[in-house]
Amino acid sequence: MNARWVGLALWLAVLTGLALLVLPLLGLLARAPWSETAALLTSRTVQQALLLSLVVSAAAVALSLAVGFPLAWLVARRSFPGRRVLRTLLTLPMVLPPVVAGVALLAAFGERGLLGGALAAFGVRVPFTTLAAVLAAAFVAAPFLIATLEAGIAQTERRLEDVAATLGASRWHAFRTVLLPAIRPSLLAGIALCWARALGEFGATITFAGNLEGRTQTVPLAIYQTLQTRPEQAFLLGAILLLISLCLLAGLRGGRFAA
Amino acid sequence: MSLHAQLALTRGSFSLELALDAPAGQTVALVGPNGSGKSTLVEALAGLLPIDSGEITLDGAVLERPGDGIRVRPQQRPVGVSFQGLWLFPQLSVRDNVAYGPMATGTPRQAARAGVQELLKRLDLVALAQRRPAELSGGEAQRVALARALALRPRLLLLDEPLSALDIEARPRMRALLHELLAEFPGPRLLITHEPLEALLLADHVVVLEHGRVVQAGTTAELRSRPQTRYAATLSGVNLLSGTLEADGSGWLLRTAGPALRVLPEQPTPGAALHATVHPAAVRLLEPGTPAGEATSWTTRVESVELHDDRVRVRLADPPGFVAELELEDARRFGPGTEVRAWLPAKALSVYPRMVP
Amino acid sequence: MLAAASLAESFHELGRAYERGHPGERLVFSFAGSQTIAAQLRAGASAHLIATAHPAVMERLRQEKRVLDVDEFATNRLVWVFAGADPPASTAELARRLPNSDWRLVLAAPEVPAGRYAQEALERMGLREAAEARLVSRELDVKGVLAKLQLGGADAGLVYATDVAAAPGAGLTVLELPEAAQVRAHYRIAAVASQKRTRARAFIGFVRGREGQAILRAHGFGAAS
Repeated sequence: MNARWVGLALWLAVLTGLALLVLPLLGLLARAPWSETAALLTSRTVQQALLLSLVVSAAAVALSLAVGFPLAWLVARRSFPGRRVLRTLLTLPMVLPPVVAGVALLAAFGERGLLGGALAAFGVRVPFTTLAAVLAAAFVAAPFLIATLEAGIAQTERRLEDVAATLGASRWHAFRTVLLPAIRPSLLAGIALCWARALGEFGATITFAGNLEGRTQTVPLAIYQTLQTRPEQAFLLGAILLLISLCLLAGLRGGRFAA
Repeated sequence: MSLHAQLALTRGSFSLELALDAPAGQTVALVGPNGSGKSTLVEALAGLLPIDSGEITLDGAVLERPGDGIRVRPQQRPVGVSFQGLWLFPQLSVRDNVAYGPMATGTPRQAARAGVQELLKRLDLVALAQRRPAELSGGEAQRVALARALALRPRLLLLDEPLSALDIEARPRMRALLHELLAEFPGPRLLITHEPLEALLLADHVVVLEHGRVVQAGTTAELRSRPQTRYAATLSGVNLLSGTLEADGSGWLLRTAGPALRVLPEQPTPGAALHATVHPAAVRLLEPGTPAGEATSWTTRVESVELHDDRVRVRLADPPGFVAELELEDARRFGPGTEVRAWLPAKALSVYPRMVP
Repeated sequence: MLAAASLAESFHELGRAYERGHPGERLVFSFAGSQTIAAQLRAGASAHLIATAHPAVMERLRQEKRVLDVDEFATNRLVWVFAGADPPASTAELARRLPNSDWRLVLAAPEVPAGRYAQEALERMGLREAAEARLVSRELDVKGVLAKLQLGGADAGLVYATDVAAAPGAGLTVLELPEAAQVRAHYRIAAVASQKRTRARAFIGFVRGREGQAILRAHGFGAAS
């Protein structure tokens, strides 16, 4: 094949890719009625949705970190029977349709669920609460963090922590001064992915947590509901969420693209 | 101040079992082929790998004794290690790498940094203090690794292949620096290497490790003159033959698996198991059929011919691995595959008792 | 064809029956909330027919000249579904116990027809404030309400009678609303304006004909008014 044609084909692919990924975003930004921004942002429903989205997504990221970091470390560093099974299980929520994830969460935490029955006995009901929204977001977003972290940790040389030990560093000190700096790019990338996913979560949230302003109606839910009657407002809200996500991603990965 | 280690450990299918003593003020070189267990020993002494039985004591204090349930963690062992592969912390500057030990053990950052200044000067690293490991040459990185190992003033120094990161040209300078540093270090020093020159130039004592066992230990002079294994002989650059002594008329013959050698033993005992070494340069190669006289000679084939500096090393087929060193003009006559008569006089062979089967 | 979510089961059967009687014809359905399908039509979805659960939605489409041959073809009513423990025996008892209970109530969002009808019904039962206080979720279509009741989590909700006609499901109690409080949902069907309408009109005729109405009745729908 002529090199010229190959070059042309590559350019075509690049442009098509750009069109596919960037055009919808540009379209949204273009169609949103920006003049109504002030009115939108002063509406109580929108304010509640924005606040809830930020709180729920941040909590979901925190939960993902707390649970995911040790899991990622375990899978990356230790070998034990069933390690590969565990690794597959941890990435499963990524391929699960979000609504199915929501149903799964109900099956676990709903009253008739595995754990829900026991919790209900203590007076703790999880579905339809803000906690449920956090759990739904964390369930679908954590695998992104875990997978990224696991790859990052697996790449670091265990030997460096050994060396730190011979220099008198406790396990915790070595973790802080040797491992963390080494996986910083993976950690930031993982958090960015996790947060973005948590922010945009819809299917699992509405199935498991429901849709109520101020308690469980995150921005994606508000957008979908608004779409029924006032589509223009939905576009605007969507555009705002898009901009927030962009800022988040840029802030976390910022100048650190080269690890 | 001395190191006493008598230990056994198994790692997968590999087992290491040895006894080692390194007195203060002495450099012991640990040599051996790849896979003999040298780095495993370093890990065990540093505390990164537990031993199964035996004990490790340093200056009388027990670092590890599984029988009594004693095992001091690596953090607590006063052992400084320079690892093969160096393993400098990539995100830290040279200064912070060297100061890592003091910082990790409680010294505040500024004090730690100031405290290693002398060490940086000693190892000529002051100009590089702010650089990252990725920006250093092999020699510079090795100096950082050494400084880092010395920063906590350890009582035992372990150096694993300290010259392996350097180009050939850079090695003599580093060797000289190591020589100074080792001499200044008050405690025992263990130097791991597979380079015979390093071992012989830097160490007082040499321990030869093969397949996880010590096959020979002694001064460098002893190792040179009386190697007990093929590997040890290679370190000294001599040929090694082994056999049993028997009387032969007026003289003595060493019966080997290959040729029978005419030898001049000092205290001959019939039936004694002996090693015989001969320097490659003492071997002469002649046309087949040349009469040999009283000297040992045998006919064999040339296996391969190699050029080393301006000498030619001719490897013979029998005994396997036997090397003769010739001048360039002489070697021209003997290409690979040609038949040749090897000739060596009895006085060129040095015989001594065989300790290892 | 675009159709309201609450028509899913019945229209699948209507479609099959129509195809049997008219070999060569094939019906493909897309179900969603009435507002959503209207929006899809406006955005350019290529459909021949559209059926909505609320007259207002269809009326707007008619004013926009997007649909023609509008006809009412069925009605629906709301029922209470109770999933919790100790179900009330009647709507009156439910209304009495609701304000002081710890029940969790699920309703369709007011943006969808089922939600609008539910608000009307609650208003007529005098339960609007009590319901608001006990509400845990505004579902985005009526199927979501039923799902929450079936999957556990919610205790009570208002759904269409047709949603629970076949079998309410284990552990669910269905309560009829008193006539005074009952709202009638009016379902309208129409042919999309830009398309050729002969075949569409044939299907509309089938839906309003004897066989179509029998199927709808079997699913719990009421007659067109």
